[in-house]
Amino acid sequence: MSSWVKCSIEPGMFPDEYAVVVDTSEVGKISLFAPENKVRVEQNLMSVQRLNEGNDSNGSSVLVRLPAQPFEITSQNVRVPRENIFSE
Amino acid sequence: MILSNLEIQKAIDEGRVIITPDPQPRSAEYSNCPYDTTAVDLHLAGALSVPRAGAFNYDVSQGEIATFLARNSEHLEIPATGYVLKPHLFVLGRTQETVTLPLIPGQTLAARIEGKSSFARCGLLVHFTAPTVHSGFNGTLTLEIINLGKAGITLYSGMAIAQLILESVEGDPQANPSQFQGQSTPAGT
Repeated sequence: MSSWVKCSIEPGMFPDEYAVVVDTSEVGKISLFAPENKVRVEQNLMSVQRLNEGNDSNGSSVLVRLPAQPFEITSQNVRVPRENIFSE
Repeated sequence: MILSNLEIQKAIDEGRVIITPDPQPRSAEYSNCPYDTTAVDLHLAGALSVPRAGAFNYDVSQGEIATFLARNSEHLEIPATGYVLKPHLFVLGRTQETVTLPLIPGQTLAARIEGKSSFARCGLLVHFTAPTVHSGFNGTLTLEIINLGKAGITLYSGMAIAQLILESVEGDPQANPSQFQGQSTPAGT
């Protein structure tokens, strides 16, 4: 099952990447450059790896691993609001 | 411990490092062999990103840095005749090669990207900070290219511009709470 997080997406510094801004539960907005195969531009979604799946059912946020290192924090793992996560 | 060229090739064969396209030829009897004794060459891709000059400052505390950087840079494709990097100019480039360093218990590798001494003599730095390619990484490597010399330096797509040095990792790195639970590849791959 793949997971996607709602985000805003703009063209990046290279043709095959995008500048992505994600709302987090703990540190506000963070931004990163994501490869084009990790985003759905028209749907404003970015692929993430959901961590601790099954152990976070009581919380309002979900721990995910981003596809690249964000600028504003030192970790690739971050909590995002549950309502911003979509799985398929 | 730094891997020799033969150990790098063995690591590629075993999937402990994935370099795409696979560096060839492997034998030092060929003049275009990309392997040195303890490194493998990486090549410049055709796309450059050139920062725009302007009355603004990069301020990490303001957030949304990726968007800010993208809006204040322009794409440039290196022409067949080459792109002349003028003195004291800075551009971003990338490697043609995609590098993957899987997290494999007991066999994980990390890497460092370095410039090449021949270009350094011209004043060209191709990666002047953050040289470490961490275990679990997957992607092309971004090159921070600056000409510190007094003359222009012509960059060509496909030129061997950097080298990758691979090292074994002592102990198993933890990237996230769910790793090693039936997976041996980096996140999202």
